[in-house]
Amino acid sequence: MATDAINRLVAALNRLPGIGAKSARRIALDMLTWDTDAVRELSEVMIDVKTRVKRCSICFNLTEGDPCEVCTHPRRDASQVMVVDYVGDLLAVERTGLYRGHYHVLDGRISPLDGISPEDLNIQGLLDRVRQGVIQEVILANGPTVEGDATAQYLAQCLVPLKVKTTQVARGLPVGSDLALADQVTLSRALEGRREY
Amino acid sequence: MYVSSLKLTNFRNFEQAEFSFDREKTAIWADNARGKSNLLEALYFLVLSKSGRGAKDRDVLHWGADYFALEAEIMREDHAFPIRIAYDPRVGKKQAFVNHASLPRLSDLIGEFNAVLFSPEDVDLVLREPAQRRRILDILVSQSSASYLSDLELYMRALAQRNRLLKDRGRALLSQPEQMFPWNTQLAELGGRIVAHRLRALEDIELLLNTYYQEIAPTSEKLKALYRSPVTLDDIDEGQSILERALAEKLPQEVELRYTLTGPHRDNLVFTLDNKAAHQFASKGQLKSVLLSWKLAEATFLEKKTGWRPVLLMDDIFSELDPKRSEALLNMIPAFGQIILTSARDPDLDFKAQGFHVLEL
Repeated sequence: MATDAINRLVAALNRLPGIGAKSARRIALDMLTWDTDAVRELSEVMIDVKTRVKRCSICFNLTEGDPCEVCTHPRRDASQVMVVDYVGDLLAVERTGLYRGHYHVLDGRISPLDGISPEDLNIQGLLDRVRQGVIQEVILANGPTVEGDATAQYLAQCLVPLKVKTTQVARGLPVGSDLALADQVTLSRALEGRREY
Repeated sequence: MYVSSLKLTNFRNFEQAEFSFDREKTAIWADNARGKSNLLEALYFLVLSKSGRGAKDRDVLHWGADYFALEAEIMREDHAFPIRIAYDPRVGKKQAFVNHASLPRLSDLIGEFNAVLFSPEDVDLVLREPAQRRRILDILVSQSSASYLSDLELYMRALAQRNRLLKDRGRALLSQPEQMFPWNTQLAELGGRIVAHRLRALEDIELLLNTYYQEIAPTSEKLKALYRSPVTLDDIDEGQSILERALAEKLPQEVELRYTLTGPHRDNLVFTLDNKAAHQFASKGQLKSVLLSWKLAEATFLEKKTGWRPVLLMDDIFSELDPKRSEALLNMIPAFGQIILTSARDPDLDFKAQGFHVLEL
């Protein structure tokens, strides 16, 4: 018989992505065995992150200062901007350490079925940035889904009158895998995007 | 290619059952309501990873059971590989395994095991409805090309998005062309590829279709399959731009009706006998011959495309086809691969004399 306090904690943990009812109970019971200080630290860190982390007013990256570290970095190339659907995508590209330009996070994909139209995404901000004239290339890196493609097409259409070079990241074969294991769609996309050696 | 054995757990009326099949000819012989059609449905389940009759997974679950599983041994020349499909409604999940390895997507199963299912009983349903005729065409093409099925799935998703936009905004869209543009582009691109695949497949089976029809039906009528679409075989490479224009033209009507009026989901496959539409004018007997010709042509088409003879699954053909057509069919069988057919008990039918391995349910 769990107490009300435990039940509240379980319910709160259950809201986390990937945490089901069982895991939530296990975490809650485990937390009861921690030192009070450790629990306090966790709760403080959570509140801290919530109060300190904001969206960058330029690119909508997560940041503690505004503008974010990417937008203010002196050695990053402000003439290139990569458009991504979510902050998670930005972080994935950053982990490669290969991209030295700026970003723009849309915060979603166009999807009428989910009630998401272009006006709900951070598109106006991107167009305003391009109009300022510093940006020479917009790299579209929307997710490879029907909605991601539609979003990329919508953006490409908006960018035409602004006369900025617009590119799209290539789609192809996963590295370290076998050609024979790739699904047909990936294979055909990779074939379409082939280049001279 | 042939199926050598099948094990069923909680599938339709089979709680636990195991069957083995002859590599050439098997006749499943049983009284009515013993599950003959269910057994063929189970075999065909291995092709599409879903019911070929269009039944939901829940509906094929044995009454009161928690899950179902199908396990089959497929032989390709000398090497055997198992296919397993398991469904558990408690987790709402269906999984397919080939060679004991789980497939990332169910659609990856398509093409592993090829079969053609002919059930004359539902010939009306299959040939009279435009959506069902598109479906038999989709089944034919998707077994020969894995990218086709994936294009079709993406197309249906983009179509649902576009229809939702039409439903939500209606006439306002006439002054917001930028809202429609990305969906039109996707539908036209995917649709162009889908239509091209369909047209090429139909071109491939056109001759076969009529040849088989002449062999089965005691008549000189000419059978044709026509695909009615804004795109034709002659301008197949311009499919995308043709569909883009067609979508733009239909928009004023679409914003009133609030759904998408053009594209492969609305194209029509029409069978004609001496240039008369079969779904309107043909008798039930003629329609059965049309469907049988289509299925045999499908088998030959798949053999050409994949290099393997598909398994022919034929449901209760002798009670559904008249003796002349049945005999014509039996004479044609040697040209095909493994055949598994069902039949009601009938003392007049001597399957053993015809070289069939008889399996009694």
